[in-house]
Amino acid sequence: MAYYDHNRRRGLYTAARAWVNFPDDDEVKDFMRRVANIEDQGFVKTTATEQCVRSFRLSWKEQKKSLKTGDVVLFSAKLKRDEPIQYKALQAAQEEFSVQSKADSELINPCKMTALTLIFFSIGGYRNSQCHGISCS
Amino acid sequence: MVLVVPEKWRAHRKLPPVLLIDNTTPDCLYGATDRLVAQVDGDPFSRNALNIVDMAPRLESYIGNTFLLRLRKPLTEIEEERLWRFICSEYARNPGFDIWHLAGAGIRGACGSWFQNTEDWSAFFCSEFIVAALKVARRVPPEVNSTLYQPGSIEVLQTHSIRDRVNRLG
Repeated sequence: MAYYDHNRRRGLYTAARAWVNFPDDDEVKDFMRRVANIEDQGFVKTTATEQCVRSFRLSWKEQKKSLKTGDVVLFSAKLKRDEPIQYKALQAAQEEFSVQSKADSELINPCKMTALTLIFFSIGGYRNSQCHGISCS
Repeated sequence: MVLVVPEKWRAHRKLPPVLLIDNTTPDCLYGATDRLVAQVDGDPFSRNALNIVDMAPRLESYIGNTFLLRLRKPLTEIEEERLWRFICSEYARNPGFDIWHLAGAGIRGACGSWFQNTEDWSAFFCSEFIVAALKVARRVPPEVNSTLYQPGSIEVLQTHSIRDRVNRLG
């Protein structure tokens, strides 16, 4: 069955092209040196409560030892009390529809995914996801 | 995505830098945190979307919950090398944020038979970049379409464990 392809940039930059564009060894070495030299910023002031900060710093010491390249961090924003209703809806929808258990990971409900997208874009799109919803890194 | 700089590059440091490659526009990145986070170099606003930041202050400053999805099986040396090459290449290319594929990823959930994203890496949204990087590392099979995975559905790939709460800031 033919499908509607909304992609305006079809085939412009494919996985194969990414492989071809792989940098040479010198470029990678230079990049690795730069990355390895990022200064430790240390912990500085934050708006979080003291208790939260303390517990994070304690747990972080242990957690960072077990981190591996390729692990993923999922962010879920905390809404303020006076946040507009549409942001609360976005947050609730994303929480409800995202994968949170093994069973969820095996089945994504299509209707839920569509509802999520419609809510997501009706209230302002991706910019709100970092500040008001779920995003990943 | 978590980046732990390999041992051979960090001989002169006391502690290994644990970094995050964050795919979001700088104003969103800074809007979601309560202060600037470290970046590789230069002006952070010169970046279109891909930012490399120090993980600890990024997590600590995030106003909300953070969860960790651990790889079920760590990357092999060769997979990790491919991943770093891809990151080096994409960081230099400085792609923009892919809002169209993000929309398509959701809509496709209900209308998969007639509406779908064609894979194209000119730009990335957050989870698209992660799946693309894992594809290049060959941890994810080549037939997987990286543009179909929303942030909340990465676990569907079965490469990572189910979410594990790291932090809650209030």
